[in-house]
Amino acid sequence: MRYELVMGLEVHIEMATQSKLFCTCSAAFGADPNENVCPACSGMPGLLPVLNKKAVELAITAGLVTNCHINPRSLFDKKNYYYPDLPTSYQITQFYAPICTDGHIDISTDVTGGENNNVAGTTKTIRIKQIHIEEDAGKLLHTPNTGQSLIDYNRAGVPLIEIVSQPDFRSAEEALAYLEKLRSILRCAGVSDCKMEEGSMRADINISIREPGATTLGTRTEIKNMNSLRAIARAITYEYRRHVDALEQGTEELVQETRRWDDLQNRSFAMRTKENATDYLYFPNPDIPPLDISDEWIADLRAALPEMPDVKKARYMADYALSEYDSALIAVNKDLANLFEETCALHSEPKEIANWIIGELLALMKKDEADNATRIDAPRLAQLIKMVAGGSVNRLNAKKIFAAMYWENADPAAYSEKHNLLNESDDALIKQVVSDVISANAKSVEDYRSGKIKAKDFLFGQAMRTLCGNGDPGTIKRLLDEALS
Amino acid sequence: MHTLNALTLAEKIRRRDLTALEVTKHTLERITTDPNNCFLDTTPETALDAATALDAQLERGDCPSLLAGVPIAIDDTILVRGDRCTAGSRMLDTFKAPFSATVIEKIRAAGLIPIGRTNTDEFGVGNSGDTCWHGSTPNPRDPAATTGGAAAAIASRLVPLALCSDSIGAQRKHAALTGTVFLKPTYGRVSRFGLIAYVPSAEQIGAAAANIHDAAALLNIISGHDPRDGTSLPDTSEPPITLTSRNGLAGMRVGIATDWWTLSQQPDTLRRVSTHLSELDARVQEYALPPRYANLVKLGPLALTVIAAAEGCNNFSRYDGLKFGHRPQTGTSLDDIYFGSRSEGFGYEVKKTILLGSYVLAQQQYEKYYLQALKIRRLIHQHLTEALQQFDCLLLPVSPTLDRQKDVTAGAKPSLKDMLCTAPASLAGLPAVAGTAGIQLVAGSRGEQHLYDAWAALSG
Repeated sequence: MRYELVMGLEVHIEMATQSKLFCTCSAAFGADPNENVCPACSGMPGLLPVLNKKAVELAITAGLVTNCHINPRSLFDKKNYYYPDLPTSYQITQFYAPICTDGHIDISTDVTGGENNNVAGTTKTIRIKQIHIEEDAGKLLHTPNTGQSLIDYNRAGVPLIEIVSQPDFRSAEEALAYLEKLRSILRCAGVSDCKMEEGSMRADINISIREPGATTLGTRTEIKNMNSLRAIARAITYEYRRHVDALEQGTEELVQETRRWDDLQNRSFAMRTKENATDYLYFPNPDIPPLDISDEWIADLRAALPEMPDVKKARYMADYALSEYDSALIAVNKDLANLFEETCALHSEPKEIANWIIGELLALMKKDEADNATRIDAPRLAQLIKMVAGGSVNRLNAKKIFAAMYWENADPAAYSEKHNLLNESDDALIKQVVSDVISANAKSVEDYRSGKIKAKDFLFGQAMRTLCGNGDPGTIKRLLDEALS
Repeated sequence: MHTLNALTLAEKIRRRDLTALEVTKHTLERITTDPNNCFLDTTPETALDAATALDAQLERGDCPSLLAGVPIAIDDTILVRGDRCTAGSRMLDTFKAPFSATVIEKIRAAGLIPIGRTNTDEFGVGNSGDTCWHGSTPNPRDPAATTGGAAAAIASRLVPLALCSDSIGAQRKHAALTGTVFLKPTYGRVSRFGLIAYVPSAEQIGAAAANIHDAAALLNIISGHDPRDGTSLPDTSEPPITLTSRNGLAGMRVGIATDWWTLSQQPDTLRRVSTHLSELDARVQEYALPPRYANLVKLGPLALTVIAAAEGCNNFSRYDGLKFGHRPQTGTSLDDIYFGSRSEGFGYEVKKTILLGSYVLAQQQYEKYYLQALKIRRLIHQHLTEALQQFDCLLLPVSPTLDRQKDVTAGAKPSLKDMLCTAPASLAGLPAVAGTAGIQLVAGSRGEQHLYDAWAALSG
């Protein structure tokens, strides 16, 4: 039987504030251990939490771009548990009355691309149950060699939102599409940089399966703290299989529990079951007054929203005549979109610019395994494209230059000069090379003349090779045609 | 000079009849002879430096406040940067405060001289001054009983003023038992920044003194909005009390809160005080809760017990021995540290609070106890607020009995009976003054002026 996968996601997002949620310490990532720590975020007595207004604004913004209801009054609670990464032994969160509720976003799956493919896949709406504000915990560093555990409180108190979806996902593909969509709109709105590799976006996955057509939910397991899309896809696949095996073959009895994903072993492990789940002793935080949000405040934040990716995509199709597929790929990433528009302002060949961004930049970012679109800037990209258009660099060399721009911050003109990548523009030299190639490859010339068109490509390649790749393709072709006619 | 009240002492210093330095030296000297364990620590260096600096300032003709030069005791739950602050607990026996409370900054700016730290119930949990890790403080008025270090220090004339926090009413009770005065402000009037938390939703730092004028002058200095405390009241830049004694109390409406007096064993006190109020031309009338809500009198202390346990349990959870505070000598695992530090670091009453707090906050009990307590709190707030639109203040006893011998034999633990009369103002966040004769006045929100006027007239 084909069981239906039923899944919900809880996504933690670190908000892009300067300071922490309840104190003035820096919330920046990457500082030395315990550099961004004060008496408040290290749990000293006598401190009182003062709510960061910017964090509230970013949470409201997150609610707006996910079509949530922004609650005029929300409350803060304390969640109690003992663990060394939690300096006060309680986390301030919104348990009883969260800031945003009842939202939704649309996701697209089965997206396929290609030269002539304008199909952007199937659209589905995922309902969002709520978004609440909470503080992050610190980090523990375990050193097995010495048996020591070290605490870094830099992250303690960094503002988070948790976005809780309804159990609307039916496949790993949908979950990934949702996470990518969330990342795209939250980045675009400036809520967070959503860097999974730095932990500023993390997901908990709630999974159950059921017989097709069933209306009740099966036994649910939760996999916590996932921080890569690839691992999430693998974990979902594994967990679905585990549930199916348990039901079909009785390999184990499914219990409601929290599990941990081990990406190296490619399997999940039980952490704690429902029976020994912690009672977090939630109760209202008496130190933080109710958070009241006026309609004016919401309106101001709504007015300040930048253009969202879906709108941007439509505009690219209309204004720049890009395909839906190309528009979607660029609009989804704020940095790519900025690069595209800025380059278009400098050089009006949108399709060519889009090709460079999609064909080259995305490939390099993938190779880099990082979202580093800003490594390429508009003036240099425009310059490179102009060089290609003007015939001073051929496309193959231009790709080398582009890669150097990405990896080494190279300047196109200086780099091509230095590495001898400029086109040979000496007609006489190219003519000589073409003539040499024709003499040396009499067989191919004969083939061509007897109708094997492809033989000309071979001759072209030989000429380009002789020119060490620096020949202007147009000139070679022209001279080759002349010589062959 | 130690028999002078604070305002008079400050006036003599201002006129240069006395110097702040000699007053400070004299005070420090007297504290060394204290037989009653009022002070846990004194801070002579900073006190003498502050006095010297103030003298220079006064010589320049610059007087920072009405209380400049007056030595003041600080309850051991209020942080003073660089000083040991134990909250009366072994847990914090070696803890040095990394910053100062807002009230400390304010009294320093006003030229008061913090002289040392007075004994307190452990983390404020208790009602009789005997849960402190450093030993209890006998009541100088009645050495068989115990009391708070601050009240005892004032009663012994060691210092004329003290800052301490009132959560469930202990400071009001100490004032009554030592014949001193404690003025608890409206919740949010005084910043809690730098106060070691026990019941954040109820506690307020207030002014302990030998008389109402000194207490009011001190409250004026420590009041005011503080952005570092999210519960701080807005629009409180003006001092709450104008210090001019009224001639009589014509026009003042005082309600005798009969629901509490009927439970009290002090009919004589009530008769005497209400006669006195009438003689002062106050309009004295009886006030009773609507009969349907009469049980709020007995439910109040229950609600406060539940809320205090819940909040206390949560606030004490940060003391885990990992970052600061008491750490056991033995054990290496995380659990060893947790169990060891908390078993050894906390005393009996604090542990009881933690257990009770965990119980009432557990999912299964939450509605039955915690939410119920919040409901009772809301009702008490509602009824008292309504009553205080009819009356300028309500007259209550401080405690059902002030028979000190009985108090001792009844056990000194914070019992429901102890909180019976102090719980209403704590739960409702209303200002109150208590002291001599075992009486208590409670006013409406921001009604500190009424408390001052009535108490000054009664004691005048």
